[in-house]
Amino acid sequence: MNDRINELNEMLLRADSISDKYSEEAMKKNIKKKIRRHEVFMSARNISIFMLVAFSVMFIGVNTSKTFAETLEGIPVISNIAEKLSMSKSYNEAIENEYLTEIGMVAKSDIADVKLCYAIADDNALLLILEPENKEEYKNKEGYIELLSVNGHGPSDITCYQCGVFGNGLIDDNDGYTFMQIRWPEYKSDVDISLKLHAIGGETAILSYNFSLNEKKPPIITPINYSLDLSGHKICIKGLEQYPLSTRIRVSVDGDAELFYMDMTLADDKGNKIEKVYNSHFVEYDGDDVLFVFDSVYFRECDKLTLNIGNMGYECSGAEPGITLDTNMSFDIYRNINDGKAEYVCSYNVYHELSELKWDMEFSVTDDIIAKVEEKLNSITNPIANIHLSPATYEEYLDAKILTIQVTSDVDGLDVDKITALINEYLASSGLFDETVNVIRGE
Amino acid sequence: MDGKEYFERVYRIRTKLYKIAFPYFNSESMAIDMVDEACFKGYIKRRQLKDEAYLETWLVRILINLCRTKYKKMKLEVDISEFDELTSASEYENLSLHEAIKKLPEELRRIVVLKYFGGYKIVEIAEILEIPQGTAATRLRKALKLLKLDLGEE
Repeated sequence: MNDRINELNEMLLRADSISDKYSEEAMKKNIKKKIRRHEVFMSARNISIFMLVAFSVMFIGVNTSKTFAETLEGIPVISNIAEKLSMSKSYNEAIENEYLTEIGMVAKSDIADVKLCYAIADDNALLLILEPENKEEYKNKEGYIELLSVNGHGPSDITCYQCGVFGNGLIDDNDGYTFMQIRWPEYKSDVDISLKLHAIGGETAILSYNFSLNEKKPPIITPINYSLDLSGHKICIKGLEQYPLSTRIRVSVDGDAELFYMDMTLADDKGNKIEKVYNSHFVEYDGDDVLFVFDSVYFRECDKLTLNIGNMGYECSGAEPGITLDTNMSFDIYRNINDGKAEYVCSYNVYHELSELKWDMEFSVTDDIIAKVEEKLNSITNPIANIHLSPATYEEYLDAKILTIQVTSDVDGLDVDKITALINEYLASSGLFDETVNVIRGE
Repeated sequence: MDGKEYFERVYRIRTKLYKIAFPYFNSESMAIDMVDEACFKGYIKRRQLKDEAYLETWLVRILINLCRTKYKKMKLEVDISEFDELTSASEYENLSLHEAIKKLPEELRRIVVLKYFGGYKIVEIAEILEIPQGTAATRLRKALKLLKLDLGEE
């Protein structure tokens, strides 16, 4: 009896100790996120209803355009599903942009005949949208679906998240749809999938589907390759990857260091924050790379994405755990259209800091002024670029009448010309080097 | 009730809601997810609440229903109509308390959760679950007997 009481007290203690992540702020954020999604779905539904009414009124006029009529025909059904899909905004945007494959395949079983209505896929994820073939017959019954295999891969090497009770979804309000999100190891256009339907009561049935996906949209990869050297460990922000169903920031950590925390935000050109997928600490792994997964912006036409990294935490074997580093870095990723194709180029906030430099330092003629300027410039551009000024002393400069600026960098996409132009402007503002500055871009 | 007032009132009871969700899953993150979802559903449907004084009771009811639904997805639930008290008693003896709570039929589990984790009195539990007080008390006794817990009732 005492053991039971001790166990109860222990459980009560655990229930009492809510961690920091359930702060008032965290709760508010989570609920508001759900509300925003709900509002988006409601708007989509209202727009669909409006369009349906407009379609009815204007039927004769628009029916002459086959494409327009076909588009309108599809929208109410798809948006009805989108409204129920609350896992990620990315799926709704994919559906709105008609990036999905209509399957309509029914697997028959003794428990229920289950229709696979649609599938949406990219390189990382496959979403299945299922419903009972006969909703009325399955009314007031519930069950759940388990993933057995996808193209020979079992649950040990893929993960699956189910949203919505199979059946009428009494509480989930999914209108009978079951959404299965599978994070698969590689994209395959031909999909052979096996599921297990569990009925409440213990009965089970195997459901098999074999189908082909519509053409996949390719990812847009933007290299960043910004490295930080932390006590001998290199942490590299490798790049931003845009997929139809997610946006990923790829980070690598070499040596025996392990990155366990990175506070990053991603925003579009209007300042709208791109939400992280599922929750605020969601990451995936690809070999030694860590991927921070955000909602997709693939179907949005934003001209600039801004990635900000506030701080990061890492630990190394043999060192004190939990080293936190305040980085406060930001990267601007610009969208260029070349031959109708969108490409993204990364820029760095170092430009902004260099352009502000002229107000930050006073020039006076001393023999070590060139060394001081060089040190100041490097404090801003390090580690993404290294700046070397020559000659080393002001006396030597007066003899030579030429100051050489050498900028070197290993960072992909860094505009060295822009940095040297800013340094030129800065030095010209001093009144000490004007008309004598010569810029050489170094290797 | 406007959104601001709703959030202010929900924040004040969030700890209690969390403690009710926790024993269902014995998991902090699951409990947080359930509470967030319940508060979201409450926000969307808050205009359906006729008397604002019953916000807490109403949210606890939503939370318990959500936990039950989630519970069904994760395991096969024992239905109270199929529950045989005599043969079941021995099955609880060698289980940890958490496992034993998991094994209880939902009708008994929710009484234990509300009583010991939510801190409600029998009269309040009866009101939340919309059942007679006598039924609530009987179910609590049954549950405690199965769990081998003798904590003293009201």
